[in-house]
Parts: sequence; structure tokens; C-alpha cells
Amino acid sequence: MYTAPLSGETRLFGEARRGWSARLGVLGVALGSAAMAAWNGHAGVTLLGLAVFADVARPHRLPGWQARSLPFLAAAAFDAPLAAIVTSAGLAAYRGSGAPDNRGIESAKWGVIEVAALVLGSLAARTLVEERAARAAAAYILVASVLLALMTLWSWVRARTDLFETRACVAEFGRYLPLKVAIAAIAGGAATYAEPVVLLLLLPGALLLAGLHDRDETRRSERAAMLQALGGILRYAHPYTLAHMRRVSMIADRVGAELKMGPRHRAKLAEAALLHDIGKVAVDERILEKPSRLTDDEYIAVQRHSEMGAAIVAASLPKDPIVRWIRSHHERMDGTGYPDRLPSARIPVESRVISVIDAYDAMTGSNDDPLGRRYQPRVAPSQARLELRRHAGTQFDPQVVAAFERVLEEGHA
Amino acid sequence: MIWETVALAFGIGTGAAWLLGQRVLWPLGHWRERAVTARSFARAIELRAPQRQGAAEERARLVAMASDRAGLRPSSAARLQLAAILADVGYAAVPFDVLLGDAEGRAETAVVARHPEIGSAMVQLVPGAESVAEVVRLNAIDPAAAQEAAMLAVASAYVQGVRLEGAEVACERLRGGCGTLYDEAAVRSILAVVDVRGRT
Repeated sequence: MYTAPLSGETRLFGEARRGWSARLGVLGVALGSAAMAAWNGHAGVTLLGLAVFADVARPHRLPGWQARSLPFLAAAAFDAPLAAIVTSAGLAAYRGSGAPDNRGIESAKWGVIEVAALVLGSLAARTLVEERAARAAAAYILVASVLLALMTLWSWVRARTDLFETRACVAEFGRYLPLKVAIAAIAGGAATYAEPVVLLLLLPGALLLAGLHDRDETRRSERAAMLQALGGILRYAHPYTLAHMRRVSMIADRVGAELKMGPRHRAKLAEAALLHDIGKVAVDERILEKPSRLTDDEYIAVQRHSEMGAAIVAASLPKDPIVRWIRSHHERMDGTGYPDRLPSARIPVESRVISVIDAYDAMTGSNDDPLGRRYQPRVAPSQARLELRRHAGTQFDPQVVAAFERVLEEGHA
Repeated sequence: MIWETVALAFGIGTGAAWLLGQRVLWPLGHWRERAVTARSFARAIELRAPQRQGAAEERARLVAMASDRAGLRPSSAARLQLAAILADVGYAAVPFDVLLGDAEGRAETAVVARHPEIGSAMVQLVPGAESVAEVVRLNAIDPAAAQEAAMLAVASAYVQGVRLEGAEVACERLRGGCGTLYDEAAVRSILAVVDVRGRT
């Protein structure tokens, strides 16, 4: 699950977190250098300063958006190629040491790609500029780079707006992205050298795209945090249900990995698992805590929790697929589940995953309910696994049961 | 020369778009999105306490119009609207038997009275709504402490009053408490956007 970078979350060249002080220092140097160089008319160093500013000003996690500084670096390469290469390597080292998660290696790879792009770009431009056809070639390259940028943007828009059943769209965004960015950087740099005013096209466009990306990252992280807070409503009404949902969510992520779901798909699955019982906020806790068998009316009241949970999430995320996954998490493969008695082909795989883990956790119980309010005794994990296998094909999806058992064997649950 | 002019215009335009987006449009957009995501919390409470059905939406609509009337800044109005949607979230901590009126002792009444504080604690956990938590708490405890809390308190009283006694009586009660129970400016803003038939 991606989260937006927190303010102050940065490291400088492998040192411990310094927060805003380190970043402000780097920003100050970058802007000061850019201002002095601009005053002296040294375009190359001006651009280098701006490149560092653009890269460091906002922290980032997704490798694609390290291209924010590429237009500046590419343009600077033709005026001061050695300085541009050194700056790029420095930025790569900064990112590599500063990434707070495992993206340090990704950041370093991107740094290598940037340096390669700059070297090729400056060699190409210095060759072209001696030819009469230089300006024509630069215009051609500019068109190519604009097309590449539009293709990348289109892939990004489709990936962001498409449902997670269409994994191709999610993968498309990243396909050949390093190559696209490298070519765009070379082309943009060459075009800027031929027509410096092209920089006026690249710079604001890069800023706008970066701003859009940051806005989307903030949206995504707030959404994830909102869903967590929504589950937290149960902290007061049914605290053991909240603990149960959290356990199911953690295991669902592992089962999703066993079923070869992509990272974002698994993140969505975990979100749905985190809220699968949120509808119990509308169920009388006296019924939920009843130690004896439920009456028919009480059972119907409890059964309604899946559709009420879907209604709660749909109030703010009406088109999100997790609404359907939550609603269907008590459906059965033999079509006798609730609330819709769906045939197996129409039960989302995500609901089948939640169903298996939900049942296992309910059978094995937990220590979070201190009064031990259950009318069925807890069963041992081995017995619970036998029950899952016994009902595979009727209540549960056999493939999901198998994936879940592999997760248990690996000790992730 | 033409291309330079076009490029310059494009550059200035795009740069201005970025600046406008960063400083004005996107923050307001974020507030609106938070109001949408907060609807799930309101829906959860409506399902738990059907007597609160629709109250959050009515309050939100009322404060949106009254904020406009009172000339609140867009960010304050957006925050107030979010607070109006989340004001009842503390009812999640009220036991079902108390919600249904099966238990009406002093202890049960005290639980209900605590719901704004509990709601405030819950709202603290909603991303982007931390500044709203205080409005939720103050609107029931000390509305005079903040303009937004005062507006929300009056809107809540009006919505509750309409449900229990009708619009005419609700308006009369607001006028009667103007300056004492309720903030005068907030009462004027709310009454300006409703009429005695409860229409807004």
C-alpha cells in the first residue's frame, strides 16, 4: 500500500533522519547556486541548480517521478556535460541513501539510467549541432519526445482509473518506462539546445505533472488511512471484531501473494478484508455477544452485516470494487450463501479469500475477547484446516483453501 | 518570434496553472474529497442509530449555505462541512440498548452526553480531519470558543428541533436563545437560509 511521504521524512547521504533541516540546507544551496549562475548568465549551472531543487523539494517514492529533474539535467548537459553527470550521480546517491524503504536499489538504478541518458544526449547533440539539419532534427526529436510523454501520461491515466480486474493497465504504466523517460530526456535536451525557448515548454509541464502526481499520492494515502480509521469505529462498539478484521487483513495480503495478485491488487484486498465486518457496527452487540445459539430473527440480523458493510463503504467509495467484495464475503461456492445466493462463477475471488480466512479465524478464535463469549468451542488450528478442506468446493474455493494452507505452512498466519 | 511567443505563453500559462493548483484548487479539492470520504462514517452511524438518519447530510447542507452567508473563508467552510458530517460519529460508542431507549438511567444518559468527546477522539484518526476534531468537541461543550463550533451547534440544534418539534418551533427556540444559548451571528446566518416551513 503506497503512502504519501510525510513532511520531514528524508535522509541525507546515509545519515540518520534530519527532517526539514537537511532538506532546507540542500534547497538553499540549490536555489542560491541557480540564482547566482542565472545572474552571471551561465545557463548550465542555473539549470543544474533547478534540477537539484526539483528533485529534493518534494520527497518521492515511485521511481518514475524521479524524472522530474531530468529535463533540467538534460538541458544542462549541453552547456556543462561533466557537471550534469556529476550532479546526476549525486542525486542518485542522495535518493539511494535517503529512500526510507527498500526503494534504495530502485533509486540507484534510476540514477544509472539518468547518467546514461545524459551522456548519450550530450554526445548526440554535440554531433548534431555542427550539421545544417540540426534544427530540423531537433524539431523532429521534440515531436517524438512529446509523443512519448503523452503515451506515458495516457498509460498513467488508464492505470489510475481502471479497475483492478484489468491488470494489464496497471502494468502498462511501468512497461518500458525507463526507456521512454530516457528517450524523452535526450530528445528534450537536444531540442532545448537547438531552441532554448523549448525549456519554457519542458519546465512548467514537468512541474505540473509532478504536482498532479503528488496530489494523487496524497489522495491515495488519505484514502488508505481513512479506511483504517473507518474500521476503528468498531473499537468502541465491538473491539474484538476490530482485532479480528485486522488479523484477516494481514493474512489476506499473504494469500493474495500466493494467488499471484499484483501489489496494488493485494493492497485493495487487504483494505476489503480490513472492513469486511464493518457492518457489525449496526448489529446489536447483545446479539453478537450472546453466548447461546441465536434465534432465527437474531441470525437474520447478523447476516445483514455484509450488505450493511457494503452500504457503509459505498457511501464514500460507490464505484470501488471493495464494496462488492465486502458484500459477497459470506457467499458460498454452492450458491447457498448470503446475501445474494450468488453462483460460484459470480463470487469475486477476493470475497472467496476473505471467506476462508474469516472462517478459519472464527474457528480458531483469539485471546482478544477476554470474556470468551462464544457458543461454539474454539478448535485447534489443525482441526480448523481439516474443516476448511472438508468444505472446499461447497462453501469455500478449493484453490483459495490451498493457497491459504500454503500461507499457514510458511508461518505467515 | 512566433514560436518563442507561443512557448513563453505556454510556459507562463502552465506555470500559473501549477501555482493555482498547488495553492488554491487542490487544497479545496482535498477538503471536498474528505467530506465525501467522511460520508461512510455518517452512514455507519445512521445504520446503528436509525433515528439519526439523514441528520448529517441536513447539517452539512445547512452549514454550507450558512457559511456562504456568513462570509466564512472557503477553507473554514469546508472544515465546518466536514465537522457537520462527522459530528455524530461518537454514537458508535453508545450501547445499543441506550440508543434504542431501552435503558434510560443516569449512567446511560451520561454515556450519551459523552458522545461528542468520543466522537472528537475518533475524528482525530480520520486523515486530514484532525483540525475538525476540535470543532466536533466544542460544538457540544463550548460552542462559543470557535466560530465554526458555534455555527455547527446552531445547525445541530435546528436539525434536531425540526425533527422533534417542527420547523416553526425550532426557529423560535433559536431566536429565543440568540445571544445566550447560541451565538448571535451563527443564529442570524442559519435563520437567513431557512424559513418557518423548514425549507432552505
